[in-house]
Amino acid sequence: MRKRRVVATGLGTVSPFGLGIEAYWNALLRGESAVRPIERFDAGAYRSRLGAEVPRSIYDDEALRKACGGPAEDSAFFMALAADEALRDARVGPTFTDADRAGCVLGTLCASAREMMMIGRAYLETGPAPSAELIDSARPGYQLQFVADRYNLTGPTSLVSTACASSTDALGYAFDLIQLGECDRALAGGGDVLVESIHGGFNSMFALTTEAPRPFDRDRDGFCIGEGAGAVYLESLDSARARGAGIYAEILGYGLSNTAHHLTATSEDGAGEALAIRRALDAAEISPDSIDYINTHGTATRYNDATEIRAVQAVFGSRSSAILANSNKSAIGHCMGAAGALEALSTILVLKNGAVPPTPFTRGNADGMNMDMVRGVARRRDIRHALSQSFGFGGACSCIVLGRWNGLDAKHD
Amino acid sequence: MTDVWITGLGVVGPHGLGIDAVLEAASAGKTAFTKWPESHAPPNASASVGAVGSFPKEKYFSERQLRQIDRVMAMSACAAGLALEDAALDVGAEGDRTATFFATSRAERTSMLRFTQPILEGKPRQLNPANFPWMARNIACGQIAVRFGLRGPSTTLASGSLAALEAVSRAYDFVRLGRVPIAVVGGAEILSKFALHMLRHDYGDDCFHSEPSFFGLRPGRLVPSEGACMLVLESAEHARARKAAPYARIDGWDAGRFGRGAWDEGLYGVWSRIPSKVGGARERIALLSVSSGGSDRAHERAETGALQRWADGVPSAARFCAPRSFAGEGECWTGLLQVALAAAALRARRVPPTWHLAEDAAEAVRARAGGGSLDGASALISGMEKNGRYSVLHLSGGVG
Repeated sequence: MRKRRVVATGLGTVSPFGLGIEAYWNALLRGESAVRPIERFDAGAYRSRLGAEVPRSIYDDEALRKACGGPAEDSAFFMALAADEALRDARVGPTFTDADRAGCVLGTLCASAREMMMIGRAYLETGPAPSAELIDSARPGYQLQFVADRYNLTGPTSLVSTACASSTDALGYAFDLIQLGECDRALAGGGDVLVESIHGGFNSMFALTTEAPRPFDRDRDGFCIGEGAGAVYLESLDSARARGAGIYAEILGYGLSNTAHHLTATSEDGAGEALAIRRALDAAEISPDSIDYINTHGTATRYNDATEIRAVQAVFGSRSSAILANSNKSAIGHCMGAAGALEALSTILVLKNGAVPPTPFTRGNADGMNMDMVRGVARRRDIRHALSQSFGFGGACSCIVLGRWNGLDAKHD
Repeated sequence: MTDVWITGLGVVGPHGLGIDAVLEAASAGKTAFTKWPESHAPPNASASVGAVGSFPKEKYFSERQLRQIDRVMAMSACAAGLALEDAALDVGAEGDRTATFFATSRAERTSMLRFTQPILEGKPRQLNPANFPWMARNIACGQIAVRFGLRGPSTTLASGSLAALEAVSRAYDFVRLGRVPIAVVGGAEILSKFALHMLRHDYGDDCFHSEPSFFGLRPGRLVPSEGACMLVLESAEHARARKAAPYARIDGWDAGRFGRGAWDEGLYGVWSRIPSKVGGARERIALLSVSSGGSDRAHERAETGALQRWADGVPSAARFCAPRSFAGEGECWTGLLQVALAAAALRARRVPPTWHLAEDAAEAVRARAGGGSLDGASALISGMEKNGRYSVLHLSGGVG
């Protein structure tokens, strides 16, 4: 079976740096961090009070929310903002015809968690019955339904929920749908929200930092939770060429695995994580030697980073030190189910612009650290192939390989 | 590219364990519904639920392990174990090449309330970190992977009821493309006092009618249900090499979302097209399994209309079946049951009847919904949601 090539032709985001790709990329390049004390709920009872929230000027903008179709749930609001930009950027839409059969795959972890808490509170207090709108928006599929309705997406649609690997997996799923000819175009990504139940949960596990996220630093003490959404408009290369679209990058392959080790802990040897990396490289039909840059999962927890180092070592061996690496999580927090989408956006922009943003706060001196961690200032480098890695609860591992668009018929230059 | 066979079925449901328990009970007219518990605020006197009794979780977990997992994890892993045993498959050294795909629509709700209760009661310092992971929708999938040592590709879909058929379709593609030779794929939902509280509001008026009502135009009562159903998919080569006895072959799938046109017409069009997409013919369809849950929600009206069109327009002897008529509205778990039941029916060449047929069901539809022997080798499993999303699988029997 001939598989079709898939390219990214539109990008969009709302992040803790604000609205839009430009704000996101420029802040990343400058090495800024949006980590602050949480404002949206009272985090005073928790050991960590840090988070990376979408700015209040966006979150509280009722006119903007209304312009997005008035979603009843915040991750759907974020996703609509990101998707609007991605479709504008790709010069398609904003709504599709039935015949377009545009697909959509989103990923999320925390979507609707706040609504579930509202229903739970009323239930425990035997308060008033939840409204139909609240019940509707408490479904994890609400974000998908809202986006599919908004743009009239009539192709295959789905929602992935593999914890922190969700939206990397969603990108891979959408890639498959186009690659295998189920649809010609798809919106992929995901939105997630910073909610108290998730903050409280990670806080109770001592996974949250009290100072600053320092991925791959010897003195790292955890992450903080971020929020936002990332959207990538994907289409077949034939479709992009037929309409003269500008191409950011090519999706070359992805890999999934389960560590089958523990429900919350990463594997000790990194073997399960390495399987996902190897599968992504195999699917992309490139060797480990071809990877120039890794957007790491880089949560800055003691165990996760150590495992990720071992996984990278297992796949790339001594060549690891030649690979540039960074983590977006000290800049925008850990955006949970949306993290993979936001990190894929960053990776695509690295390929497009030939610059790797630095990782704030870290010295990159973790024990066994094997990658060339970009710190301080952005590093200019010609990046041909990049890998974005996501690992989550439940042993979920998802990695995606992206290639710089070379404008050629050959897949690899 | 390889053929993909269904070689194992594992069911933990209101009827008990295994697909045979469902088939036998359904054929005998036993719905396995019980009264909605008085303590759980029943919507009316006739309200009922499809609840799972005891199941052999001790076979798969120690007492200590059972204290560390929730009901959906235990039920799902048990169903996975039953499916692997049914397939006579010891994954063993093939763990790295076995995928785990999972679907759920609402399984996390009970554990989410349990974990967040201290926050809701103003005591956030009492949060129990041991319960936190249970909020993740993929935790049952992870538990299956841990329990059986499955390190192949793994994912959880949570788009709604249709996630069930989406998970099977995606697993099918992974096996078909040679990414893995084996996939354990399934889904689960559970009931609890809080889950029923939410479902009562989620289903709204559809909880308040006196009886379920299938294939008619009037509203009927939804029966919330719980359970877990897992399938083993294998490449034909892998299954042949170990002399496995397949239930059916998955031939292909189609999915999408209906836009602004008439949904019944659209669904009939999908049912008509998919056989030719996979190299079959609609006249050879022996079974059409639909996702109707017993009321008149938008997708149920569309299915009823599409069944009517099929009965009137397709020269085939296809029988119609709505497994939710005897298993209840179990969203992803009953979505998976649709697939399992169709696979088993193709092998047995018999299908149980649809119960609670509406008084106003069209005669042509009613005539095909009474169960009985199957004339033909293929089945369509159709799922739809009230928002217009649909997913359809095409299976064939007589393989192996």
